[in-house]
Amino acid sequence: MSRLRASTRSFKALAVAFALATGGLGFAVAQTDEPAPTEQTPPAGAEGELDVQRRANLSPEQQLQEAQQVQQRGTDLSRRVSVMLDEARQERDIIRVTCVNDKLTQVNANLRTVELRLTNLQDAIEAQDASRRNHEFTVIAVLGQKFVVLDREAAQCIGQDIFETGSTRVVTEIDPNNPDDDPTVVPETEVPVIPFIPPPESGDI
Amino acid sequence: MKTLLRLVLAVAGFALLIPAVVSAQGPGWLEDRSRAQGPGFRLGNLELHPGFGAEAGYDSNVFFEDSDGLRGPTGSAVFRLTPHLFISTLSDERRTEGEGQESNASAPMLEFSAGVSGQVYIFTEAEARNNVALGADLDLNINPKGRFGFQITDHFQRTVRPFTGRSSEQVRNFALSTNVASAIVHARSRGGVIQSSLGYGFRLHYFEGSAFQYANQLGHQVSADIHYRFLPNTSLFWDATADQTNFYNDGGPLNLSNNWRIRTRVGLNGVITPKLSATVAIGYSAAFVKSPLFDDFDTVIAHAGLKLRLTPTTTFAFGYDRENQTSIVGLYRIQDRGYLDFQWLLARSFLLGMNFWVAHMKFGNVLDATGMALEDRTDVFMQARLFAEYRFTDYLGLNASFAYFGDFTDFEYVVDTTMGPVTDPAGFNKIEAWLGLRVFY
Repeated sequence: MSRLRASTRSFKALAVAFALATGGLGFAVAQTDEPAPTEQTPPAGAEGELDVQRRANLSPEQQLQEAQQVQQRGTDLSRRVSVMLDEARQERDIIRVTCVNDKLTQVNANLRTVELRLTNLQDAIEAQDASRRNHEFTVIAVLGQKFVVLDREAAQCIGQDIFETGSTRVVTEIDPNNPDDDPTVVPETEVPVIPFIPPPESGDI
Repeated sequence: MKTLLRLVLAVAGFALLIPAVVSAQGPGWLEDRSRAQGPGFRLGNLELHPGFGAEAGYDSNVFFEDSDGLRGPTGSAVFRLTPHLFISTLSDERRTEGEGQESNASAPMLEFSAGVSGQVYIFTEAEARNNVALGADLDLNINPKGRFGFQITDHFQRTVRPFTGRSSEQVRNFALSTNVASAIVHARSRGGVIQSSLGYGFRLHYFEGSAFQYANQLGHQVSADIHYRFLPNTSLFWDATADQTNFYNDGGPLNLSNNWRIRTRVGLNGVITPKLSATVAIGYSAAFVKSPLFDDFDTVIAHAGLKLRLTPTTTFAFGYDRENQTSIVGLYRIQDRGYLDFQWLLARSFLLGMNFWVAHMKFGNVLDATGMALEDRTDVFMQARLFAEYRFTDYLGLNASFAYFGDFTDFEYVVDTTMGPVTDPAGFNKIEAWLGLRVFY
């Protein structure tokens, strides 16, 4: 009896070990399915830019170059959204005009801020004020991320196409089990099979 | 099915014009061309449908006599041979599905159908004359599905079976020839939602036997209707007819006078649900008689009926209608009728049908030849039919029918005999049974 209990305990221990081993294997397999982050793989939202944390460690020349790229991207974005706004106006799509115009306003406001911060950054570099330089660069980097978001939002502006379905088209589905008797044929009342007429006189033939 | 619809439409188009005294006395399949014809032979753009039936039957009361009448009911075995030949333009099935199908099966500009049929009656009862009934019809429909169309029809029928009592043992000629010719203009809106027609019909009744020629008549009928169609397959309608009857011969035991009957009604007809159809109509009818001896008359007419599709091939219909009909006795009659119809098709080879109706009929003034009013006539008429057909193949069928006709009335005719005037009760009871084979193609 004691041997049976001992063997049962051994079996349970074996089962638990197997479960842990297979669970761990599954976890390991699941982990290996995803690509491991590397130095060469930037975060999806940065689009080729270095993350803010690492930008702060750049040299002043690199920070200035990076800030100028952000300004250039802001200028390009402003131009593209302006074109989108013109197209929406030509299409007389008031809903899309309103949306794109809002994004363009935000892009331009951020672009003006970038230009201002870029001047401040240049001043800080000339003054060799590292603290102020890093601060200005961080602000410019955040504005650069803002451009990415506004670019995406401007592209997602929807027009009145989504609300206007065009000319109404009615599709009628008639139950195929409906009888196809012609409704313009009205049943007529039935008449007797004989005419009502008196019998002939006996002299007639 | 579309062919059937078209044929029904064509037949119904002038059904209004067929007078009440012309009633089918022949085999049931001739009343419905879709039953009478099979696949047919193709002749270019035409179809030819020949057929032949041979039946044996029994008629319990050949002369519609009352058991208390002058001579009493006389039964007879009857043999009936029925050849027919129909011709028509190609059916929809042939145009769109069968051999030589058209790539663009649009509605044809011309639809044509014609047919002739005969019924040879041989009675074992000596007083009944062996005779040949005939039928012929023509239907030419120009642009039937177009905005405007024109239809010409002609329907000829010669019935030979006795239709009233006989006051002597003389063999009499009960032949009645009827011809109805009509022209109808059809119009419809672009989508077919509104359809209307305007028609004129000319009819002639001709009794060949001299004893009945006083009742020969010709008539004119103008008819019009408008339908507003809507889903699922229903229409609101208005229709009207104006019918003039002229009795062009003198003599006879009855005083007859030219008269007008008008009739108009509005209603709804068609599908309510896939299993239920309805016909509801109400209207007005009046009769105007030229002779001052007769009273004019007007009344409400109505129709209320339901049709149930118990299965796709089983239908049951019942309803009530009230109608003003032309009549030789009384010039017109008001008929209040209740009816039941049942039809069951099994495996496309066995058809079972039942038809029953009972009607209360009130006739107009009945005047004798001198203008003296006879008693008012009121009848209760009953008709029950049971029929069945089994099709061994697409062209060979065995059919049987059983029918009862009963007329319950206190009205009595006054008949001149060699013994002087005698009364002859107008009521009767009659049973008919038939069994036969038919081939058709």
